Amino acid sequence: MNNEDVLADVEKHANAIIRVCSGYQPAYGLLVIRPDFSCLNPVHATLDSAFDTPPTAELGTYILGRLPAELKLMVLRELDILSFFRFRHVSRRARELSTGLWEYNLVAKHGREGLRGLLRAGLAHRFTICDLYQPLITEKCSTCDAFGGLLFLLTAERCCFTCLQSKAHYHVISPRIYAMLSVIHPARLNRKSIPSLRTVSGRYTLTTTPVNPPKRLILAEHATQALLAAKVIKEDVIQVLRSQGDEQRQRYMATTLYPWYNLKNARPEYGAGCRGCQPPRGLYLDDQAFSARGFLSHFSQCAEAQRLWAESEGGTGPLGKPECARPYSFHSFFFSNWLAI
Amino acid sequence: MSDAKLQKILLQSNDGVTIDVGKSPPLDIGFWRTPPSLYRAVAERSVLIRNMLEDLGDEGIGNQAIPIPNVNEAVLKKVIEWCDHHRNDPVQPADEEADTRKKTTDIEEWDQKFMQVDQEMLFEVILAANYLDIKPLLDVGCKTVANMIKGKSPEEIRKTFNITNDFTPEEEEHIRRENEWAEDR
Repeated sequence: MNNEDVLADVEKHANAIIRVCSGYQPAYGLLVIRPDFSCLNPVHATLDSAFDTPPTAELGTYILGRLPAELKLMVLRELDILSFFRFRHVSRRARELSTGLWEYNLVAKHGREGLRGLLRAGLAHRFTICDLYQPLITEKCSTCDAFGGLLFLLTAERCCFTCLQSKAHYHVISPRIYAMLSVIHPARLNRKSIPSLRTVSGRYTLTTTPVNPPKRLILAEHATQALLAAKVIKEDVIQVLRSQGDEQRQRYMATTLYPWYNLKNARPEYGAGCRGCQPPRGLYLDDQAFSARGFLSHFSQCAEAQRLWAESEGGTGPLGKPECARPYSFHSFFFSNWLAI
Repeated sequence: MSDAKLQKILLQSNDGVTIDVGKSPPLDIGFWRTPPSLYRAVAERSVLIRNMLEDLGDEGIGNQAIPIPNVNEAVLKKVIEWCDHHRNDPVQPADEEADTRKKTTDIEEWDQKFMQVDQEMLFEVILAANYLDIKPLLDVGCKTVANMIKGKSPEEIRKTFNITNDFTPEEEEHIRRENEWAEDR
């Protein structure tokens, strides 16, 4: 196929191309904080709704109750996530009001993992609902131009798996190790009140032996900045930290899957890999995820995907499969369940 | 704008009191008189008044007081005090996204002191800022109310705002489960 044919095909059969040539979930989903994919959890059903019974009382007789509704919402928008979450537990009217906040509603519906991630990590008081809403409607990783399918909890930024693994910006470390490597007393680090993440149990690895996470993790960047400003450490510590204190798996403990909510077609996208680029077997972590839009521009450059498309006879024939399609037993089971919520 | 013509901007509160905008102490010491352009800067913190001044034109204003029917004297004075302090602030970008990312805790010190008033006054100032369309003052007001909620347990929030808990036992049970979901390790 020459280039023009490909572009014409992309325009004409966009949906079919996406169906045939993309679709599998990249393996990094197995490494980060495990999403709660149970469709039976009653909490999920009411996170973005008020209780059925109508409120019987107003929001009190003081200032909050007397403000007009749109100003009440302005107040709620200023709340941090933890306070917001608690406010929902005040009364039925409070719950009804907070449900009406568009940003919260969308986050509770589609960005539930980010919400839960921050709450469980003990970081919820540091961010507002809007801080979580903004990455939800942003497609790109905040440090590169690719689709980012993840949320980095310590900064509430969207990121892609490649950047998460490689960029110094996402370097997380346990406070104890940080203090050891920079040769300062741990108490000194504590005094700086650097945002720290409480880890949750999980696997964080593809090997059979699970990793025991440290209790807390901090962002190396945060600590270094605070300590450099206080002249407690010197610049050369940065090198030491980078060479010795960087344990990749700990980065996964600070990250959760986070879909991109496409405001144009009102659909969440989790990102899907290209079947053409799919490695022959085993779980490869270099998989790149694409949004539907991003995939189509990748398709016009990916010869293997175009071959698959040609073989599938316009999406009608038997699905063209790569010669050695890898069986995604556990993996596909995991995701089909998770996406079916 | 012809500065010579515009002498002052007068606002009239709903209880009939005429207030001279810009006549606050730092601007009117001894021989120093507030230049007319400053009257504008203070009054134009309010988008409502700015639009009104534009519509009226310089001649239209003269020495006539602009009626502000929804705001009483004490509140109007308070609002003008705020506008006066912030008269040189850069105009906020219209871009909505720019302020959604802003951190919540950063109420500047002067504003914090300014907002140390009783709930009734705070309520009135917020309503006035909303009516007069003074976005930054409205933000400060809302942040102040938000700070009254922050860091409190549901029970403490109820006490602060005198809210009745109307959850049924089943709903309470559901809330307990929501808390578990959010805290589970």
